[in-house]
Amino acid sequence: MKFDDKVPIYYQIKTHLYHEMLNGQLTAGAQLPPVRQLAVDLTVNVNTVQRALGEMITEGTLTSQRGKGNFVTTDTTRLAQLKDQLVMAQLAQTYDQLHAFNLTDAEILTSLKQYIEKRGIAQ
Amino acid sequence: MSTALSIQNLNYKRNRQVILHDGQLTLSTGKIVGLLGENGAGKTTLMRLITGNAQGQGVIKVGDSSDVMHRKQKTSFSDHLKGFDKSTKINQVVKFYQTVYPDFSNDRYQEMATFLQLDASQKLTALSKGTKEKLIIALTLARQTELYLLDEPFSGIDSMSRKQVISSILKWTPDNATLLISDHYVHEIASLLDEIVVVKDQTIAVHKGADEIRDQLGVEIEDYYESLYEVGGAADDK
Amino acid sequence: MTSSFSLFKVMGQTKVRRINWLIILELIATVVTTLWTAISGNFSSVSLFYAFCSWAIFPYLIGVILVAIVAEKAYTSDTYRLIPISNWKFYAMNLLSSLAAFIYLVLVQVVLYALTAAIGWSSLSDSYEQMQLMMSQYGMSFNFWAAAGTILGLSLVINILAWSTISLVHLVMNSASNFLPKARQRVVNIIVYVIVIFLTLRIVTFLFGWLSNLMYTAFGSSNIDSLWLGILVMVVAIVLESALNIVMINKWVETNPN
Repeated sequence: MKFDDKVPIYYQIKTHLYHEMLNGQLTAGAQLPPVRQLAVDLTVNVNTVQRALGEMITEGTLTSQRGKGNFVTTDTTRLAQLKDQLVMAQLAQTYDQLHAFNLTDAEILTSLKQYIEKRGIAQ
Repeated sequence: MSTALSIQNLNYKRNRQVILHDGQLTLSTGKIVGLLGENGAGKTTLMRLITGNAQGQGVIKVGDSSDVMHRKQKTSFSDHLKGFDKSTKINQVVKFYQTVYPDFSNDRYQEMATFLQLDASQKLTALSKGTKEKLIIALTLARQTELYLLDEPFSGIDSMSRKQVISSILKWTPDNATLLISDHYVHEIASLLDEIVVVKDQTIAVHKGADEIRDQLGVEIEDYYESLYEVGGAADDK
Repeated sequence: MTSSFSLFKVMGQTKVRRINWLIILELIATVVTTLWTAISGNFSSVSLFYAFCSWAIFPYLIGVILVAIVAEKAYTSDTYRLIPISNWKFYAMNLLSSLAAFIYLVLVQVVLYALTAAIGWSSLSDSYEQMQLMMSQYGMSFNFWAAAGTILGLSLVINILAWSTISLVHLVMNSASNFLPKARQRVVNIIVYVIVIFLTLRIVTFLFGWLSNLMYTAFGSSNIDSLWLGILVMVVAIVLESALNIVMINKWVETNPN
């Protein structure tokens, strides 16, 4: 995995895991690889992985089972909430950028619709 | 968190020239720390002072021992194998390590050797730079100690070897061990590091957390490191 | 902590490996000389023994030097100095393993003497009897084994003295070079070299003179005591030099950086 060195690595690991949780690579209740394995896969050190996982456990997207490892939460409302958060964050980013091009809300909506339709045809 | 390495008032002169002065450093256990600095800044010297193979003034403790013999026992330094004849085979070097280091685990070594594709029957003289670094890493990490000192493990090796060396560092560094890796390019190891230490102007100029730099300063570690060398930069010039 | 024996083993192995090379060279030289004798038409069963004898002095001389080089390198090599063991044990094992390697050389030489002599025994037995006859005529009936043992003991002590002196010179120069400015180091090195070579020559001449004297008194008048006194003096010198060496290793001697 490639990291943007400006952003704390633990934060990027969290984002990476969120994406896997939402795109279905990590389903609800799925077990995560051991911390060291994750560290090797992502080429980051164990402490950094631990920090990312620690924060995810605190916020409830992961659960830790003593002696067994870490799992994606089975709490589907929590996962839905996470999805909302990420969608919102992504939208906010896109919206801000388009807004910066001096587009009105109505224009943004139209452009988005057009874009979706075009993609639909292309596929 | 306990202390893996502490250095107080370290001074080192050679040939009447100051190499390091007033060095202060404390590393806590379980960290991966990058030791940065230009070529000839004294990174290797600092490591040799820690092992006791260079003799300076001041107090150096590994764990809680300042005694040189105990420091050597608690520290695994990446020796460049110059003490061996060039015709020595890898398995003879391994035998040497097994004989003289009671904490050398042959099982750990063999796992790493398999992972790094080291051929035990090869002679030292026949090894490419990359293969030699792999051998050195495997030997160094096969000892089970509190502190590992890896002296420029990536210098002059190809990117495939570098990836393998990085993976082995991550896989085989024991829990609670502290790792000091020296390098003059920070970029290739930035994602591994918990902290960085910079040797500059004959002293230990900077010791900072990697995420501290990214979080608080909002810059890449590489940029931060380079900013130290700009004229009128952060570090104090004499 | 590393045990003294483990260190002794690894140090000894390196030195024995050098000795083995030396023996191989010696054997090649012996064979070549014998072949030459054969070509020039003077070949007999005893040729091999004579050829061996003509080369046999060199392995001792070169062996002492080769072993000394390996031993001295250990003091400034990270590969050895990273080993967790106290400096005095490090020093002691270095000397002892040198000694062991040398004894190994002597043993191999003895075996080779015996082998080559056995091959040519038919011609050698005559001269052996003559020699015995000559000795009894001159009243030199001494105990062969006691003499051989004493000579071996003496030569080993002389070796140790030589090695500890070489270490002294090497470590003094190494320690001194830490403190001298780089520019003047060459000049100082040359001065130190001169002094050291002068001293070594003095010691060697002294030893040889004294040794021949000893031999004369020992075999001439059966006064074996003076021989032991000599050995004692050398042992004291070895202890003093070693104490100095260990102090220098503790305080100043550093390894060569990678």
